[in-house]
Amino acid sequence: MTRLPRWLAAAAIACLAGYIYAYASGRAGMPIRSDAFSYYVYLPAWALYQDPSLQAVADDCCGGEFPDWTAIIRWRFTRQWVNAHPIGEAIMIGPFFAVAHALTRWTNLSPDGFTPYYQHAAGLAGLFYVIAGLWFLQRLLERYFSRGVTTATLVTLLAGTSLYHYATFDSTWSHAFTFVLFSAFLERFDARRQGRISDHVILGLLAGFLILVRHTNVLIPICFYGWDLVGSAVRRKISAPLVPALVATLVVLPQLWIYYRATGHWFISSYGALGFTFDSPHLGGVLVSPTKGLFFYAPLLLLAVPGLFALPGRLRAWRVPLAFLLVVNTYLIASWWDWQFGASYGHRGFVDLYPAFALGLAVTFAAVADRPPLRAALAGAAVALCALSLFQMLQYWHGILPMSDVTWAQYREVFLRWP
Amino acid sequence: MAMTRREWIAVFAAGLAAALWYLRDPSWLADQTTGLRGWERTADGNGHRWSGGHASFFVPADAHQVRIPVATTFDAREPGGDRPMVVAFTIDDVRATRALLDDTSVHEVVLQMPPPGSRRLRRIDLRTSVTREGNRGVKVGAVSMTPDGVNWRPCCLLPR
Repeated sequence: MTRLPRWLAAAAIACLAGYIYAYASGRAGMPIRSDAFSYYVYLPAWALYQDPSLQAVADDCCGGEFPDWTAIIRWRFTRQWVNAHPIGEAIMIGPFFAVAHALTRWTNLSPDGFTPYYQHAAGLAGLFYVIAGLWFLQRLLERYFSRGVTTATLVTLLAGTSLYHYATFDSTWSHAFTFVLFSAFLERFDARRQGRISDHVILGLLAGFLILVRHTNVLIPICFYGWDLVGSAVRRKISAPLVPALVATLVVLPQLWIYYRATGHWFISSYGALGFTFDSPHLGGVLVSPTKGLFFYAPLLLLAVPGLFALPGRLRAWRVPLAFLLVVNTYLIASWWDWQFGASYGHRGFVDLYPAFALGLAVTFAAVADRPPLRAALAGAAVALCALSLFQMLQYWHGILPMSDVTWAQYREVFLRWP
Repeated sequence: MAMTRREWIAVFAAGLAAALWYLRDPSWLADQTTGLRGWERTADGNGHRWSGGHASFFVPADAHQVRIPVATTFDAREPGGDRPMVVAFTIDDVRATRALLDDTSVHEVVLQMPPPGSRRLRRIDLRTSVTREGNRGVKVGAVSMTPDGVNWRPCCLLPR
């Protein structure tokens, strides 16, 4: 049996400590809130009320009508509920929900899906999946990098970006769930063997769940399998990924059925009238602005960018699909009508892509591993950036750093300020 | 001295059993409520908490009867705001009684409690047939109990 690496056990304890602090101090409210409500709501609807229409939950929680903030809307023509958020996260929380339900019965709390055990089952599920994602990334990175580089990469990814925040304070958002699925997808895609059917089935499952957690995640399998297909076509030995495609389709079918049941259509825009503004993307806003810039709040990731061009071994073949994935996803995020993605620490849209950045970060760390002066300088910078990221995250938790619409003047005013 | 795997499993099982034993009837349940908002004081010095469409709270298991004051608003200007409201009560998920609210007066609902069981507290859930604007169900006042059917005392959901 593989033992959990010590650093990963320490990371899990650190995340658990942060989680307990966030909720025991009352900073975070309850785990199932805001977007997390609509990602989670399928579980009580299916498991407690046997009602796929969601109406029973609406009756019980909300007087028959979901409030606007839930992003669950009545479809105009059928008056059925359509949830903007798909079912994948709820399925992944399922095992935790089952334990919570048994405990709820045991303690005699109200078994309505929203009492404390259910709440923290959902919250701890997100935490668990971030740790699991780090474990998958470790398996992948250790094939190409030393243990030291791998550990340094993943520790800095956790502490130097918003990943820790999405493992603790906002662990019920979908990002923790995409993070583990994308990490596992990369790990399996790298390790797959053409003749081993189980690899293709697992990759199909992962691709299906990626789509079920967030529909735009469909880009991940498309980029990797698409580039593979191009390569095989160039070699005139076309091998279409039929097994993964078939498995992924089967996994996604229940979601399509839910859409069909509610609207009469298999494919819909579950966000209703909300959508993209492709002709005016906020690229600067999502990448470098103090409002929500990825590199502004996680400057450590700048170290990952050059590394992505120098991936080692078999990973070199991933340069094009990774570049395509990062560029297209950035354009999509920057074009979303609410390009800030509401309240978040850093830009939460990019948390889903952190596994890709981990690869670039590892390359950069490996490049200086044998050069002591550079290694010391980079280690010093990485520690400082991790400290800055964690400090700003605590500022966010304590309401010092605004949740959205941060201006440069506001940022300067609160920079390194406590309380 | 390092512990063997069997010893680790034994420690884990003992810890799990202790946790389950504690969670069977924890004292913190007495303060546990769901679906109830904060206290609002009224001019007469009394107070109430608004419920949503579903709320729950706990009462001592040794109560013979429990009295719950409930009221709601009737406002024809709100869509459906003047519809009568049925409030259904359950005790530990067993149907207990229903109350029809068709005016703004406070209705004192008395629940006949089952004999004490193995727990110190019983859970009472209330569900309203309709809600008012802002997902408001009923105004719930301080709950009283009697162990003998004669002497009443406030027990639960006390104003703070």
